[in-house]
Amino acid sequence: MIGAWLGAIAPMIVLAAPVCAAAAAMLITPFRVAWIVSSALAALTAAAALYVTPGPAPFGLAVDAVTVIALPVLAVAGCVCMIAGGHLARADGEPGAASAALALGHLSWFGWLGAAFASDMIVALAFVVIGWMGLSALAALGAHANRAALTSALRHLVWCALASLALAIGAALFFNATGSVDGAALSLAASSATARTLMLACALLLIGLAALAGVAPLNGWAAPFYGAGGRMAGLLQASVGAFGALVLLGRVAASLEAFGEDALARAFAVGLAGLGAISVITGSIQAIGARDARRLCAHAGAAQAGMILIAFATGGTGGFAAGLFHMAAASACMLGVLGGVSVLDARAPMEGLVGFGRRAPLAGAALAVGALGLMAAPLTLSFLTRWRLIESALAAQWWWAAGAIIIGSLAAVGYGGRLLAPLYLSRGGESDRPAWRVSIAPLHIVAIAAGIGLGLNASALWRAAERGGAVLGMTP
Amino acid sequence: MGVLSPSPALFAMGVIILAAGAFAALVIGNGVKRTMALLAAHIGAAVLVAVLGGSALAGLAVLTLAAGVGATMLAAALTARIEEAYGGAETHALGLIDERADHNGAAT
Repeated sequence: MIGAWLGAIAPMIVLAAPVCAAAAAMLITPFRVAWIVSSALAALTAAAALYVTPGPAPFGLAVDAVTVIALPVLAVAGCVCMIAGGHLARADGEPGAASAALALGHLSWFGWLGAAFASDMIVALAFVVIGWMGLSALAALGAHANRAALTSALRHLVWCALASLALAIGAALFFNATGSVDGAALSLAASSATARTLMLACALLLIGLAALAGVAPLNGWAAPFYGAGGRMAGLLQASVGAFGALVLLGRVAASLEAFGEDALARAFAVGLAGLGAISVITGSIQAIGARDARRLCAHAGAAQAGMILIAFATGGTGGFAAGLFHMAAASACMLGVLGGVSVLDARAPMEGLVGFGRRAPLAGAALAVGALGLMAAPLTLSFLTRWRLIESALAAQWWWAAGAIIIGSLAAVGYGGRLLAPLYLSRGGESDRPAWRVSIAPLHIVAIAAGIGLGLNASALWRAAERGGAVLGMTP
Repeated sequence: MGVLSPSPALFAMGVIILAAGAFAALVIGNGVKRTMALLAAHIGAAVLVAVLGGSALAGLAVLTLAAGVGATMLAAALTARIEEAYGGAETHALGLIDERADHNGAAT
């Protein structure tokens, strides 16, 4: 009885609490109280996300098995980012702008959470615009610590705005061909007369979402955004924004399955896998050469997103489940690495990591777990998810795609090693512990628990991913 | 084209405005011109959406325009802040010059 009641109101709480938290951040003074109230609301959002069950949601939205696996990851990652915002907003922002930074973070989070609920493309686009625009503004507020945050925010704004236009035109083309903006309409309208229009629509939707997710080479905004934008903006983008865009991308890729054996659809799937392979190779090479830990994360994120694209392209329940499974692992890795280096100053050169594990043990441990996850080391969640990715590529008999994933994993040993090596092998300096820095601790703990804890037993997560994969794989 | 038949002239106009605006927004270095190009791209996209979807997609066209207005206002505010911080709105579109200057500490 109580469980059913919680399930019924949970979607409403998930959508309403971040907006209330943003309002609280703006209206309540002093900042310390605003942060406590907004953090409590963020925790409520994360708790409610765990109770969301498939069925109707408020305001005409919908919940399916994909939402059920996406929401907890988006909510928990966003929650710890918002709690960490207590330190990051104060450290990066101009004096007096910390409340605005916290509010923008909550609004952006709301946008990406809402996108996971979206029942059609227009609603999804509305939420996505809120998500990326909040991130652009949040990045700009980091200009107090590093003025390059302004140019990186403008670049993010331009790229994401153009990506949104691709989504809008893709949705319009889709409607023009099918008379609906619901992806489920594809099977009813798919015919040779509309196939090319639908393909163009899906191509535009995929390009827009890939750009928002930071897939190379459509991620011209990513490295400066992570490297110079506010630390809170980078964390949110890596663990929430990219994840939200990839969930939507999975839904679009799934709708392409409606074309069945159509040669055009198969060519499209190969093209999607090709984009994924390019992203894996390009991201890996750039990550190896990165001189800044946050910029390294932007390139590593592109490599991870490429692997997910390959899994989606292979299609079927197994492919989509593997993609969703790996998304959770990639989000945990990014939380670990970016959360770890967020303890450093606005800039995070690789030299700054020397002795970092001794100066900041918890942050160092989170960074180490994140780096091990990027490398897909045994006993980490990423090891299991990478295994599933390779299985899905082999099941589709795409040897080259499996090869790209393996090459990406081997390259990750190189750049993950660059993050790990200086942590404990060198003697560190004196620790600097501002009082507010303790607010980042939950983020580090969640990153470590997700990376290692789920690596030891990921059966529940895999079952959720399988249920999500079954929904996507069976999309008509 | 598909279920609906868009007007070719309006369709072509939308495509041209969108393409020109998007290209300019990506490559122009001047922040003010870049902001205007971004607005133009949104207007072109809204025209395209309206042509492709008719009255049924009026909501999407309005959403596109609203997003354009929001993005333009934010871009204008960022440009003003960039002028303040760097002493001019000429920020290299690809960001290379500013980033190198900042990275080396030469311009800070």
